Amino acid sequence: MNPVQDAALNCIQVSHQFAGQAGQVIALAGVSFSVAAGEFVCIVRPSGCGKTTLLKMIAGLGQPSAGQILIPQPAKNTPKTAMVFQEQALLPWLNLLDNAAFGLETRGVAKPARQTQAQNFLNAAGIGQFARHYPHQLSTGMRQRGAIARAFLSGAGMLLMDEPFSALDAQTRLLMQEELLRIWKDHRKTVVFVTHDIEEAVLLGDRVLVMSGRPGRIIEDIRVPLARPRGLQDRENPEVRQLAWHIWKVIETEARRMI
Amino acid sequence: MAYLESYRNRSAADDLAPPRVRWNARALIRWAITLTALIAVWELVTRLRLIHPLWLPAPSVVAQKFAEMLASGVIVRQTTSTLTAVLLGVLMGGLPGAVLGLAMGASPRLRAIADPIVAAFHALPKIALLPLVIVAFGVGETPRIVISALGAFFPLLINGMAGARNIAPVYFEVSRNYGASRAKTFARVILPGSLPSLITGLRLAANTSLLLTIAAEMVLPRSGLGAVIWRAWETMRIEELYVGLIVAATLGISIAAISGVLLRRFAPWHGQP
Repeated sequence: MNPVQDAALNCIQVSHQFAGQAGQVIALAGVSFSVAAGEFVCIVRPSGCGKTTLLKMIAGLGQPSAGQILIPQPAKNTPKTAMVFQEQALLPWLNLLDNAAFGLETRGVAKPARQTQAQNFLNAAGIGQFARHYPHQLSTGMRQRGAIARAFLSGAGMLLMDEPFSALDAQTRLLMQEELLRIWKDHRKTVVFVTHDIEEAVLLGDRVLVMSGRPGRIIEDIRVPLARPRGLQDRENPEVRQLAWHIWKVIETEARRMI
Repeated sequence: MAYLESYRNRSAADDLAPPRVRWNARALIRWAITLTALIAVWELVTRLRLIHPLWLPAPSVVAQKFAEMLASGVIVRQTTSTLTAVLLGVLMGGLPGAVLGLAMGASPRLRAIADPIVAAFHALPKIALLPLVIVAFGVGETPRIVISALGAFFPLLINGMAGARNIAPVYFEVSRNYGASRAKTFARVILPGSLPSLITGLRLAANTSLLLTIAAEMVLPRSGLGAVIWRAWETMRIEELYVGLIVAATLGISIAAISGVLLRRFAPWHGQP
């Protein structure tokens, strides 16, 4: 596969293997896809390792065993990607404001400027009054909103989200999906979002990439024909339901095998 | 349980103002009761002559001596002398210890080189080095401070190293992903992440320094709490010896209390879920 010109991300035949207890484990085998600038792409797969590995390699936190990951060089002083981690990854010793402003700080933005910017973002996200709280004083949902704020504020063109809502309860998760749609509508960043919640993938993504279990490869690339802006009511849209059911059928056998 | 209680007692107002640590009166009362009981038993034991007063004078006698020595200024002067040596030692030995420890914690390569050397020197009884220190620095103020610095160096080094190694890898990943420089990673991840461990190290360092300083003062001429204790023994004024011990114990309590305050003040997240 050749890289797509002007794409925000090109993954070309990306493979990854590591030494497990029972010999070599092939986590990813020849994963190829590209993401256009400003596109929201969701990756769905049955549980199992590989997807965090893929995101971390895109984030530059690991090297693929084979293949290439191409991201255009961003403007000077901005990171290529900003990751929202699955676990709680706000720095426990910084308050919410300083955490949200962390990406601005690493870019060398002066303190008053970055704090104003972060405060405005937190206000818009409805957690402005908690700016001086430390992560341990916040609910899981608020912490994850802080992590999303940090990613959006970093100036990175592409955001990588690794099951950011998987630790949240079902209701908070719905509200966070709504919140993410709202923020994304205002900022239009390229997003690669990994989840195993099929409805979430269809509701959020312009495209859904369905991956197989070990070894991970992309088995289907589906465009979501749903107009934007989207909201929670779209969960009840027949098109969404149909698409979600289709995706479920694609991964069902594998998901059953994993139990 | 403590977590549940604090959660239950939360109100909307608490949520808007960062929670503050409250002074725990109940714990203080319990502590006072224990202390009073201990002194009462001590007084009783001496009154009943269960132990010869030459070895264990009554607390009332010791208290009287304490008041005398306080009035004459001996206690303040000698305690200040000891504390100065401890503080200088913690500063001169502890600071390099902490820096080297953090570097060793963050760099496996440096750790591989330096850890065996550190382990070897840590095992040496520092007070046994006093003769060498005296040969090198003479018999003035310096040997006491050098011994105190040696005492502070290792606890801060080892705690700094452990602190840096215990930081969750995800925080380093955040730092890398967001393009933080080495200096930024040190200032925002390594140093604050190791802070709780460093503060505990500071407590251990100050205690070790205190022990070594007092020990050195018993041998060196005429200054500090060690000198008070040693002179009391030489002249068989046992109550003075007890006054020296009580002051040393009080310093130990103060060190523990200060490290607790530092921990709450500078590492409020520590031990939180």
